[in-house]
Formats: sequence, C-alpha cells, structure tokens
Amino acid sequence: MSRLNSMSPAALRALLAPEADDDLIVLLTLSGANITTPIRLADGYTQRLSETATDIVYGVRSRGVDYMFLPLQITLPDEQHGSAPRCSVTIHDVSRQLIPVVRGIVGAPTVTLELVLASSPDAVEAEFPALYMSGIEYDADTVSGELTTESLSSEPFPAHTFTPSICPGLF
Amino acid sequence: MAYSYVWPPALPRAPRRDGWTEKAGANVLRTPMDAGPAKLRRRSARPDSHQCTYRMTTEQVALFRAFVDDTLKAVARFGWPHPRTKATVEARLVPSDDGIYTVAVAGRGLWDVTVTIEVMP
Repeated sequence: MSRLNSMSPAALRALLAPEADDDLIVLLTLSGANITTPIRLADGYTQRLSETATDIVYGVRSRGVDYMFLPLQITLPDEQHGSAPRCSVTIHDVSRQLIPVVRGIVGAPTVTLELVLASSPDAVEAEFPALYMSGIEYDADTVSGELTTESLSSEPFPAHTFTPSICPGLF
Repeated sequence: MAYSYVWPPALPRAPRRDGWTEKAGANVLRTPMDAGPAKLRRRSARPDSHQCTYRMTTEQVALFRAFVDDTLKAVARFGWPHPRTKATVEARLVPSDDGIYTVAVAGRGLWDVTVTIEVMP
C-alpha cells in the first residue's frame, strides 16, 4: 500500500501543490551498533534548539525530541514488489560530530526515517523503520551509506538440511 | 538570543543612505516543470542580508578593525542596530571573496567601510 494513502491532506498538498508554503522534513535516527546515544538529524529546521554565545543549533523538535539540522541528501525507499527497499543517504557532517561515531560503529546501525511537516512536526506523515545502514563511507566532509532492510528472501528455508547426523534413517 | 558582543557605540549606528541594501526572504525551492509553471516550495527561513557602507573617521576605522579582528574574530555573532527598524538584532559578518570588509577613501580623514551583515533567523 502506497504511503501516499496514509499521508495527511496537508502533506499531500506540500508534495503536489504548485505553490507549497509547507515543507516535508526528513528526520533520521541512527541507533544500535555500539551507538550509546541515538543520533537524531533533520534535513531542515523549524527553530533554534539551543544557543550559546558561540554557537546556534538549528533543528526540529518533534514529540519532545530534538533533531539537529544537518544537510542531508537522501533518496527515499522505493516500494517495489519482490525486492527489499533500498535508499542511500549522504550526510554533510559540517559539525564533525558524526565521524568519531562512525569510526566506533560495530555492525550495521539501525536507521529510522520519518517525514514530518514543518508546520506540524509532532505528526509523523510517513515512517520507514528498521532500515540498516551499510557500505558506510566517509571523508572530511560527508558520511554516506546505503540503507537496506533485512532481506528475508535470502534466508534459507527450512532452517535445517537433511544430513545423516539429523536424519540417519534416510541414508 | 545569545550573543556576547554588541556593535561598538562609538561606531556609526546607521550606514550611508546610498550605501545600504537589504535582501530578505526565505529559502524557496523553485523547480521548473516540463510543462506549465514552475513549482515553488518554501523550505525554511533564511538570514536577511544587509550590504552596508559606513562613513567612518580614521579612529572609527581602527575601532572597527579591532572589533572585527580581535573581538569577533570575524565569526562571532553580535548585537547590531538594524538600520530600518532601529532594533538591536542578532547578526554576523558575511565574508566575500575579497575579505570581510573593504575600506575606501571618502575624504580627508574619512573612510567608507563596506561590510555585509546577515541577521540570523
């Protein structure tokens, strides 16, 4: 079922209207894989999350959680039958906070993508949960990776094979 | 708004009338279509940019240079008197290919200092 069917009229208007005064913001949550505190990023901003005399952090506050604004280039997952959704993400790590985390990752981190409207960030318009980031590459400026789901179609079934040790009567 | 520094009171509060332009608006994404009008989408707020030329004396230029180079280190935010609203707003300097500011001769002991300032959203 297409996610367009579950999106609000305001979100569809933001997507399809010739002049849209609202914007869909992608919220990305990176967790698991030895990441002690989930990393929450957004590709747009609606407010200042914090400010000091030396720095301002812009971002989105959604459901009481702060998502820090970092430029993201993301291709949303497609919805093809018979194949696992794939998408890619490139994070412009201008604050240099991600690269130390990426270096300490053990395994594939879990990624959750959510779409929210800038005018109503507490309402999630679409969610892409349980994605895994693999093929992570990084340089001084960017962190990029492929996002995939666990492909059950490649898992062997049944779990066992008929071998003499399990089914000696067959041999 | 949190900033540690303010525009020095000894410097001119307003730029020259013919030396000030303001560019304001929002981040709008305009996407041409194969047919029909282009689509517009508002992405976010953006800083208002002010191109200002201040007429300063030699002493004021020295004060301005110290403020930018030593106090702000050319990057810190500061309270700045808005030329149009007269309110103190949070602003920072915008570098260009030529540097942070330019100084030109305006007369005997007078200088035109041109700087680009952006007001933070």
